[in-house]
Order: sequence, then C-alpha cells, then structure tokens
Amino acid sequence: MKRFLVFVILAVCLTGSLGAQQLEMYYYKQEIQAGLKNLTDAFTKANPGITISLLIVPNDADATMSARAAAGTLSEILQMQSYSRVFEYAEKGYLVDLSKTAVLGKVIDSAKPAVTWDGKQWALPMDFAGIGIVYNKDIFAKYKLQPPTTYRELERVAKTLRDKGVTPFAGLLKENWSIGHFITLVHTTLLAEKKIAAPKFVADMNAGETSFGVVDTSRLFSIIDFYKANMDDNAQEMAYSEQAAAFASGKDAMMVQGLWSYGAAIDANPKLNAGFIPFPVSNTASINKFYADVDSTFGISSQATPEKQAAAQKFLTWLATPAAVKIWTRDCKLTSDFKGADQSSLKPPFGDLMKNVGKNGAYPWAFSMYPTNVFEDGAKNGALAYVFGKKTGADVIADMDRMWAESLKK
Amino acid sequence: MVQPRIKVVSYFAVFVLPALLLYAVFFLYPFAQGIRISFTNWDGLTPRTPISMPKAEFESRILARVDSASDRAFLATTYRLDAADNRYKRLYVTGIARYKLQRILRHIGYEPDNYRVVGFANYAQIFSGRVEQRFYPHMFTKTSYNADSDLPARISRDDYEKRFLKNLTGAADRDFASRFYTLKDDSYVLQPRYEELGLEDRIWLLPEIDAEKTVPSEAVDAFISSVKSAGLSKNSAALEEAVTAFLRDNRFTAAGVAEVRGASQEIFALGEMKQMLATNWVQRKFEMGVVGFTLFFTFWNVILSNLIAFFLALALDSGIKSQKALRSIFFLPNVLSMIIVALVWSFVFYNLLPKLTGIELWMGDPAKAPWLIVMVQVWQQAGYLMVIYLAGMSTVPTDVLEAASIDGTRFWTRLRHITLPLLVPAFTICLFLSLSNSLKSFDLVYALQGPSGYATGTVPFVMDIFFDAFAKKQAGLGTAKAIILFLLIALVTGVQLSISKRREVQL
Repeated sequence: MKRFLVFVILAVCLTGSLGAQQLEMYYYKQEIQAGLKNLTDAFTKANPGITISLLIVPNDADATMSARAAAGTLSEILQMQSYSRVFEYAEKGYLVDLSKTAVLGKVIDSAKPAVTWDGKQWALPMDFAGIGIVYNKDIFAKYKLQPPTTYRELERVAKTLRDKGVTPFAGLLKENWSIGHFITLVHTTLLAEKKIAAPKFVADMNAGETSFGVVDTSRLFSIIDFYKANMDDNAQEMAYSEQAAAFASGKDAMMVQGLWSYGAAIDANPKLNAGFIPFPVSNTASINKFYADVDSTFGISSQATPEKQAAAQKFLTWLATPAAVKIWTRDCKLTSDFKGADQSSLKPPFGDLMKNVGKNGAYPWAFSMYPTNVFEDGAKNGALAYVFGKKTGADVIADMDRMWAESLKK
Repeated sequence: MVQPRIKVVSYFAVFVLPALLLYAVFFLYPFAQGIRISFTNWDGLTPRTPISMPKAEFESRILARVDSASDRAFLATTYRLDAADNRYKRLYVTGIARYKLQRILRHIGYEPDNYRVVGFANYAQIFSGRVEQRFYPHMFTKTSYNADSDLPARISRDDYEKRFLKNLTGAADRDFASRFYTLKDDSYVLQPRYEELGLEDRIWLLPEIDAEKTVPSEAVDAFISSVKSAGLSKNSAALEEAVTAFLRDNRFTAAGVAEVRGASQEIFALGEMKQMLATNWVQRKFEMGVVGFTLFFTFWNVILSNLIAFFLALALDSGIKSQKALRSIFFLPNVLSMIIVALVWSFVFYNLLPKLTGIELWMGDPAKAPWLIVMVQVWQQAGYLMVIYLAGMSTVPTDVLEAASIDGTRFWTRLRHITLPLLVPAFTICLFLSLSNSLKSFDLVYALQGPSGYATGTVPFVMDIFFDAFAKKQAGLGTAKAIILFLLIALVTGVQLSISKRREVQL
C-alpha cells in the first residue's frame, strides 16, 4: 500500500512537472507592474501549463541583466529597450532569433528596425513611445495660447507664460536621463534641417566620417539654455516624480517628456487636461516631428532550455491576440506595435501622438543607436554638465566624438 | 587550558574548516576573479566562451586548433551546428563542463574581442590620467552664459556683482553693462527693450513673413543668425552685407525695410554685451573629482561622526535618567537602511528646508551637496559608533575614577588621563569602521543623487566603479579601479590599526 502511494505521488509530481513550464520575465518598466501581472495571469488562464513569474529591476535594469547574463542566469523572457540594448545582447548570442516566427509578421513594419540586427529580428517590439511636450490644455486656454508649431512660437508661449507668473517647463535636472534625451532630440531635428537622417548620421559616426558637431551647434546649445531658463528655479532639485507632480498640479504649463510620465501626472491629478505636441526645434514647422520610436521589446533568452524557449515563444505569440492587446493598452497604458491593434482605450495625449506621427512621421530615437558609452556618459552626463556650467558646448561635442571613437576601437 | 587533541581536531573540522571553505568560495575566489578581470578589456557582457558563432569562423578559429581528440569530442557535445542558421550554437553549460570548455578555449589561445587580456593597460590608464577627467581633482572654468543664447532676463545680485562686474577692468565696461542690467528686487534685470525675442519679432512679425509668408522662414533664420554672429564678432561690414543680401533677395514694403534695418542694428548691438557677459561671467573652480570627493567624504565623516558619537556617549554615560531611551533614539537612524535614509532626507531637502529657509537649492547645489552628504552619513552613523563608545566606557573601572575624584582631580583631567587611555580599543574599532565604511560608501549617494552626482561633483569611488562597469560597459577598467580601492582601504586601515594598537593600554 505504502509503495503504491509513493508511486502515485511520484507519478502526479512527474506529470505535473513535465506539463507545466515555469518561466520568469525580467522587466524594467515599473509603471506597468499591475498591467503586466494582469497580462501574464490572462496568459496562464489561456495556457494552463505555463506560468510566468515577474522580476522587476526598475533602476539600472541593464546592470543586473548583464550580470545575470554573465552568470548564465538570464530569465527566459527579457524586456529590453529597443535598438542598442537588443543589438548588444543579440551580438553576444544571448537572444533567440525571432525572424521566422509568425508573431513578428504581425508587427507593423516601421517598428522592425528597432529590433533588427545583422538582418534578423531578435525581439518583439511592443510599444511605440514619443518624446515631446506634454502641455496643460487648461493653462493654454486660459491665456489664449495655441500649441506652438515652431521654435519661435514656443519662445513666445514661454514668454507669455512667464509674464503671467506660470513656469513654462517643469524641470528635471536632478537626474541625467531626461536632459540626455533632450540633447539628442534637438540634435536629431537639427540633423533633419541639414537633411541628414539619424541612421545615416550614426553610420557616418561609426565610419569615423563625421562629428557630433555636424549640426548648428550654436542653436543646439542655445535651445538647451532656453529650456533651462524656462524651468523652475529649483529644477536641479527636481527628479522624475517632482517634475510630474509640478506639471500635474498646474504650477508648470509644460513638460518635455515621454508619455510614460503622463501616467504619473494623471494619477496625481485625474482632472488634468493634457495634450501632446512635438518639441518644435525648428522655425520651419514641417521639420518639427515627434521623437518617437519603439520603446520596449520582449526577447527570449538563448540560454533557456528548448522547452522553456518554446513556452516563451507561445507567450510572445499570444501577445498579438486581441485579448492581450486589450490588456496591454488598457492596463499597461501603452500603445501597441501590432498591425490593426485596437488602441481605443488610450487617453487623448496618445491620440495626439498617433495622429501626428501618422500624418507627419517621426524621428527615430537616435540615442538608442549611439554606442552605449556615448549616450550614457557623453549625452546624459555631458548635457547635465553643460547645464551646470561645468562643460562648454564645445567640450560636450568633443567628448561625444572622443567616446564614439573609443567605442569603435574595441 | 589545553584541550585534548581529539577535541581540537573536531573543533577545527566542525567550525573552522567550513568557515575557511566559505571564505575561499565567497571571498578568495571572487577576489582572484576580480584581479583576473582587471587585466582584461571585458565589457561585462561578452561570454568567455562564445554562445553562437558563424560556422566558418568556428571551424577555423576553434575546431581547427584543437588537437586532442577528447577535447574535440567534448566540443561536439557542447556546440551543435544549426544548419538553418549556418552557425554553431552552444548549449547552456554549468559547473565542471563550463570550466573544461574555458580551459580548452584558453589552451588554443581563443579570446573574444571584448574579453582580451590587456595586461596592465587598465592600471596604466588610471595612473596616467587617461580616464575621464572627473575622476581626478582638477581645475575647471565654470561658464554661466553662452554667447549664442539670449541674454538672461535676470541675474542674481551675487552672480552679477561678485562673478561678473568684478571681472570687468574698466569703468567704461561697467557703464556699458549698466545700460543693459538694472538692480531690482535683489537681482539684476535685463531692460525689456534689449530682450532678443522682442527685437527678433520685429522682423518675424512683419506681414511679409508672418501673414503673407512670401519670405521663407529658413531665410529669416539664416539672416538673423548671421546678424547675431556679426554682432558677436563686432563686424559691422558683415552686418551690412547680411542686411543688403536679405533685402535684395526678399521683397519688403518701405516700412518693412526700415524695420529690418532698425531691428537688425539693435540685435547686432547686443553682441557686444553678450561677448562681455560670456567672457567675464566665469569662475575658475576646483573640482575634487571622484578621488578627491572620496577622500573629502572620508576625512569629514571619520572626524565628525567619531566626535559626535564620543561626546554623545560621554553625555549618556554621565548617568542622566533617560539614558536607555536616549541611547535607542540616537541608535535608531542606524536601523534604517541607507535607501530609506536617503528617501527621508530627499524629502527634507526638497520639501522641508526650502520652505523653512527660503533657500531653494540644496542637493542640486554643487557647493552644498558634498557637505549635505557628509551630514546625512554622520547622522546615520554616529549612533552606531556611540554604542561602541558607551560599551567602552562601561569597562572603565569606577573605583579608579572615584579614587581620582576623591584625590581632587577635575573632570577633564580624569577624562584625559583615565577614560581616554582606557577607551583606545573603542577608538580603534570606531575609527576602523568609519574609515572603511566611508572609503567604500556607495548606497547613500546612489540613492540621494544617482549618476547625476557627476554634475555636483559628489560621486564616490565605488559609484564611479559601478558606472564604469555597468553604464559604460567597461568592466575591466571598473574592476581595476576596484582593486586599487581595495589596496587603498587596506593601506589606510592597516596604518590606522597599527598606530592605534600601539596606543592601547592594559590595566
């Protein structure tokens, strides 16, 4: 009898463990914690044999992920920032090639360059995010201001707001990433004024044939000066959450940000009436476009066992189903990169983004194509050092060029 | 007492041996790995044994060089050819297999490009001053205004008088500047008629440009920018040329022509003031750099936290009633994790202090930030050291103190000649703890500032290592810095221990 019982227990355990796959998902987008939980729960409901546990590393996500890669303990499903993050891991062999999977066929074509390295796709693009000006429509209406379409108009708007005692831009100078985005945003639009596309610029830099200073650098830095001059006086004390709070409270009229921080602002003030426009760098309105690109992607670790890879593959395939897209857009409050996705549950600023990009196109996130060191140190720390008066514009350009050259040498 | 031999052996086997083993696994081995990595150019991500490699490369670079048949057989079990991809792919290997694979590849001299042995290159780079300048103490010129930008609408009185006017040599220059800026409410305000936006708008809002759009905006942009650069170089010929060309190429009414001429003349005139402000509103400043800040932080933290801890302990040891409660209160900050401490203080710096004092900049001010960081660290650490001093004081025999006091010695004499000498062991341990903690401090600054600390010049050594290794993907260089820091800590604490040990007295 005892033997029989042991046998039964063993059999139950075995079949259970054979059928069930326990996967781990590594992700960095802290604002979608609850949404991802709903997403993976819904997946497990549809696929009872597979459960997905969530592992969040919000800050310095890549530090932990590269440490785990080196130790051979990568999670099976990996959320990665588009472009260089994906390319890096693909190049070293940590990712599974997804080019031939059916789910990649459902992704809109414009999203594919963000995950394409060496002619193959290594991750599944998930959302499209734009960086621009989130503005408070009520404040603009109160002072009869139109959303600016040229730099000149933006300067006038800022002056009117200042004269009325409203701070034009909610500041964020306590952290370096936002000003890092900003300098590359302005730079990319200035490139467009010179009729140079960002990928061409990056390719030329990689070939050692151009300089970061190829654009009108006097304007690049005067626009940064303008941005800083129109921030809160204590912008150096303001981090991400302080910026969103200052904007949400109506103290500040605009913030230069991605829509991810719109979520934080709307949580702080549900009555916030916000719109989203490209940051107008140029005085020629048609040149000003959103700085928008694929933001997050999901990849599969090549170190996982074939069974787990198959299970992870199942999850990625499921993500393109209408049910999954619905949870993604409604609960994660992010856009979707799948063809024909129903994005109706997204709030108005997302509509502004999609409409504008649909009509005018967008500039790709050039910073994601820079070598890691150039963006992390050259752009982020460089721009912040400029704002703090520690480096001149010429220093920043020279450092970017030097770091770019160094990263090629290896 | 001499233990029987069997007991000694069993103690060794049960307690010491496991401890030594754990020490080897968790300290010696990683340390040796660290030394090895510090001699490579590793980027922190490249695996030592390739995960996937094109077929031809794998065959020529690896397979062709392996002589031993058993090694070849082993490679065949770890790498399989993916025919569809035309690449060799490695299965996930762990433990002995992983080492065996590494050994085989090392034996044939295979090294990935981003995981090569580079000898002392990393150390040479650090010691010859070729890592980022912010690593070393250095002088720099702080610029506050860039001549390409609009004149600032407002300059604080301090900045204007102490950092700009003072640098002007002649009275004529000062008079010239005073035409632009006048003192109002403790700051110098730009006269509205010199506001560039208004001047430029005299051109931009001309009907030909704004309403009728017969003049393209690119042309206006180019025109204004050449007027500005003519102004910066005080080149009136260039101004005249630009105006003539602009008026020749575009059609304006007579009123428009006059406006273009008038406005561009005024924009041109701003150039002199801009140049003056840009070249004179600068300061030569000293920047401690990563190394300097670490030493600064260590110096002040060791002195202040020990002083405060010692005097707190002295006060509590005097026998005041609420000693136990106070001891707990002072110790409490130490119970909190550094991250919580940083959050609490961030709140104080951002929300509380500006309201109480009216001063807006705290952590974001490069002049205050280093001191504030020291303050928070002292606040957190002093209670802990205080407990050690208290414990030390409780071992000072009261009979000796009482005898001395009956003999008529004063409090300070007793402190100087009895308590302090007997407290040297406590000083030894407290100095050691605070020294090594400060030299390897990381979490506090990371949580208070993050990588933006480079802008305020408050990045400690360990954070710089972290940034190199993970953000800049220079794990080899970062590890070399870590080894240097280890040697520095070993040296400093070693010297400190040997000095204080010599001063310890036995009763």
